Amino acid sequence: MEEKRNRTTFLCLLALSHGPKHGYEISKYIETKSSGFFRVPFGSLYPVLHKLELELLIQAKWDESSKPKKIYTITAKGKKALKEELEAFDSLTGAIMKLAEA
Amino acid sequence: MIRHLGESAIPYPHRHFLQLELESDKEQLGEFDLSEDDIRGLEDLYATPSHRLLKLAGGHKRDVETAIVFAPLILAANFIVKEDHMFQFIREGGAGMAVILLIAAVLIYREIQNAFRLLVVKDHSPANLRLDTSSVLLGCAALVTFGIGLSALGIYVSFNATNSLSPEFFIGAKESLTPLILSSLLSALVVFSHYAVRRILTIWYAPVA
Repeated sequence: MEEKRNRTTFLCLLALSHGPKHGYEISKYIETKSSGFFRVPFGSLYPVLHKLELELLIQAKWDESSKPKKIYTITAKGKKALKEELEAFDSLTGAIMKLAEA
Repeated sequence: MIRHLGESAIPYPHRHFLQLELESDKEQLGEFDLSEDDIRGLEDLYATPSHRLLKLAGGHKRDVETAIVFAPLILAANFIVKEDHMFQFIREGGAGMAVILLIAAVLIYREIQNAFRLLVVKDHSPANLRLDTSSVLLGCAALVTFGIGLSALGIYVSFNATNSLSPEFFIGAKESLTPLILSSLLSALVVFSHYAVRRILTIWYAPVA
C-alpha cells in the first residue's frame, strides 16, 4: 500500500512538473503519457495530492472562472524533491542496467 | 465503496473542499466514489493531534474525554468554594440555588463536551454535528424562569414578613435577587458558548443541525 502511494506521489509530481493541472487532468496525463502503463485509480489520487499539499510540495488554487475547480501547481520544494527522486531513480536503473550487461 | 465522504471522520472545512473538488472532477469523469482505503488515508491525513491522542486511549477514549470535559467544572466549583464573596452570594439565594447550579452544570458540561469534540478533536461525525439547539435554548429558558420564580418568591416572602417597604424588606429583596442573577448569567454563558461553537462550525462549512 505504502509503495503504491509512493509511486503515485512520484507520478503526480512528474505530471505537475509539466504545468498546473486539476485532479482529473493529472490522472489522465499520467495514463496518456505512459501509454496506459500507469493507471492511477482516481480515488487514490486525492490522499496523495492532499498529502503533497500539506507537505508544501505542491500548492492548490481554486479556479473560480466557471465551476470551481482545484488546480495544483508544483512548488520549488516539490521540484527539488522530484529532482532528487529522479536522480535516485537514474542511479537505480543505471545500476540495474550495469548488472544486466555484466 | 463502503462509505461516502459525508460519513467519514475527515474534519470540516477539509471535507467540504474535498467534496467540492470531487464534484468538479465528477463532471468530467462521471460517477465514482472513494474506496475505504482512500477515505482512511484522508482521515489519517487530516486527523488532529488530539484525535490521535484520544485514539491511543483505545477503549478508555470516552473516560479520558469525560475527565477533560469535567476539569473546567471542577475548577469552577473549587473557585466558588474558595472565594468567600462568591460562596456568600450563592448561600443568600437559599436551597433553590443548588437546583440552578445543577441544571447549569448539566448545560455547561454539554457545551464544553461539544466544544471539545467539535473544535479541539474535530470529530465531525453526523451524530456530533447534531447540536440540538432547541434543547439548549429550552434548558436555558427553564433555568431563567426558575431563577425569576425563585426571586419573585423571595421578594413576596420578604414583603409578607415585613409588610412594609422597610430596610429589612430591601435586605430580603436584595438577597432574593441572587437566583435571578445567577440563572441569567449562567444561561447567557451557555447560549453564548453554544452559538460560538455553532458559528465556528458554520464558518468551516459544517452542516450543523
